[in-house]
Amino acid sequence: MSEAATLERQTTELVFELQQGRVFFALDEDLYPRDAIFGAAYLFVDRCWVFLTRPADGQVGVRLRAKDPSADEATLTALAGEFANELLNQVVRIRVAESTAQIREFYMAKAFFADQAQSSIDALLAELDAEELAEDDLAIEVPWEDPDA
Amino acid sequence: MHDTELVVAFHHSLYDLPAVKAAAEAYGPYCADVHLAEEGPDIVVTLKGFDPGYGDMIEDAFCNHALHETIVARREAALEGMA
Repeated sequence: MSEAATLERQTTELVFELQQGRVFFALDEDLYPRDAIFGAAYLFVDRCWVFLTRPADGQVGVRLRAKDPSADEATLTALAGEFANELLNQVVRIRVAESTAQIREFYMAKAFFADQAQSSIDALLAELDAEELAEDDLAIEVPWEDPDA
Repeated sequence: MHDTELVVAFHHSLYDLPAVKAAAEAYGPYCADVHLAEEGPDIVVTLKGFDPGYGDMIEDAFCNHALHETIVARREAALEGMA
């Protein structure tokens, strides 16, 4: 396989190695931030044994082993795929969080520090007070024990 | 005492020293000796004298423990940074 073809394969699919009941793959930190890798790993520590390595600068190696000792190659392959999916999910979460950070801060600041919120509650209370509660055409306020009251 | 030894290197950029120490404390009772050393970019852990019946599981479980402690500590630090 030519170098270009190898590179294309590596960038279009997750390349992993199976060895001794474990699956190993390397991730580029430019594509997958470390927080995303940690986020995915955190969700997988219950299900499998996870170990992270640093095979080269800017790369994080992920080694997974199923907790079930009878796990076969298909199970490990599925595990790697699920990890990759979760990784993508974490990356999207991080990017959305980053891109919406400013607007979230703005809304929080507005909610906490703006006076309008308090005044709108006051206005609502005033509106309730102003309602014509004295009119009781259906006699709802009359106690049932004392119909003549 | 069993004649078993396991050496695991945890890269500093991926694992925090206190987290690896916490794992060492947790797994200390299962080994005759646990030694930590900082060697270049790695935290090198040596577990000695553990029951060979544990097989690979002691290494895997130790690594999981260290990773979990690291992630939890980093998340807490990130939250404190935001506050």
